[in-house]
Amino acid sequence: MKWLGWIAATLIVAALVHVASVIALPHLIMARAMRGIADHGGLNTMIHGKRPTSASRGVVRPSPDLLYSSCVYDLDAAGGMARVTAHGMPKTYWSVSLFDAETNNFYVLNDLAAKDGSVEFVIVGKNQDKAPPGNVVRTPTRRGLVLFRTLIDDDAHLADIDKARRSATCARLKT
Amino acid sequence: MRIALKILAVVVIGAIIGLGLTWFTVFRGALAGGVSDGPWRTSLEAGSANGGMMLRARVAVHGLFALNRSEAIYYTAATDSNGTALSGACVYRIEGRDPPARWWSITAYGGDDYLIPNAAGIYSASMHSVKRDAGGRFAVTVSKAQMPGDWIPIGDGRFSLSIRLYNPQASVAAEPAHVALPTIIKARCT
Repeated sequence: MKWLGWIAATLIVAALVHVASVIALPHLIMARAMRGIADHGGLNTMIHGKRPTSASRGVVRPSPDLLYSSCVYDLDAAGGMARVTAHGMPKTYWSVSLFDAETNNFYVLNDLAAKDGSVEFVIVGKNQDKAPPGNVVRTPTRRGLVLFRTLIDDDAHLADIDKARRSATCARLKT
Repeated sequence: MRIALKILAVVVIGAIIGLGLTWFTVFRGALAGGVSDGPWRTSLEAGSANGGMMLRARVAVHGLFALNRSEAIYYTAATDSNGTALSGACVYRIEGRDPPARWWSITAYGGDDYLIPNAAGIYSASMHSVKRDAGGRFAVTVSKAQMPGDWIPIGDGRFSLSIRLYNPQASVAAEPAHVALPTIIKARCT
C-alpha cells in the first residue's frame, strides 16, 4: 500500500502547482502587458496607440473600431500620486477605465457621465491619508493601467477623433 | 538515494500534471464562465473584482482589459448556430437585428486571438457600417473570399467572432442568455 502514499503526494503537488499557477497568471500577464506599454513611453505617460490592425500584437482581441490610449501608472515612480486629465474629448462614445496589477477593472468613466468631454482625477494608493481636493480614485495596487477607449463612429471623422482623444494625459502629480 | 529519486519524481510529475491542468482549464478553456445565448458565450463577471481566480486567469489570457458589465458586455462565438466549430474553409452569414446597446460591433479573430490579416483591411462590422432591410435586419457574410455587401474577411483555419455591446440596455445584464443576438449560419464549405 506504500505506493498509494506516493500517488497522493503527487496529486497534492499537482493541486498546489495548479492553484499557484492560476493565481499567478493574471499578475504575470498584467506585468508583461504593462512592461510592453511602458517600454514605448515610460511610466505615468499617456501613449496614444494607432488604430488596431492585424499587425497589432500588444493586447489580445483588440477592437478595430476603437482608438486606445494607455498609461501605466506607478505611484512609487510618480512620488505618490498620478493625475489623469482630458479636455475636449471627441463627441463619440469614449471611456476611461483603470485596471489594477491583478487585471481587475476598479474604475470606469464614460462620455455620458463626464461633463463636456472632460476628465480630471488623481490616482492615490488605498492607504493614502492626505488626498488632494477634487476627484480621487483609490487604487488597490501601486501599479496599474489607465485605458482610454474612443469609438471611431465614422471613418470619415477618424482624423478629428484621433486629434481630440490625444488631449488625454497622464502625469505624476506635482505637489 | 532511492527516496530522493522518488521525491523528485513526485515533484516533477505533480508539477507537470498541475501545469497541464492549468493549460487545459485556462488556455484551452474559452472565456466562458457561464452564460450561453445560441453560439455566443459570455461571462458577466469579466473585468469585475469578484470574478474568482479561475475566471480572472481566463480573462487575463483571452480578454485582458475587459470592461465591467455596465460599460460593455462581450460575447464570443467559436461555433456556428448549429454548434459546429467555425472554420476558414466555410462561408457564414451573420443575420439579425441591432442588439439592445448604444453601440455594437462584430469582429473576427484568428486562432491566436489577434485580428486576421487581409488585403481589404476589414476586421469588423458594426452598428455604423451594416446595411439593414426595411424590417431592420442585417446580413454580414464571413468568408475568406471577398463577397458583395457587408463582409468580414477571415483566413485559413479556425477563428472566432466577438460581439461587443457598449452601454448595453439593462435587459442584457439581467438576462444575458436571452438577448436577441444574430445567428451564425454556415452557408457552404470548400
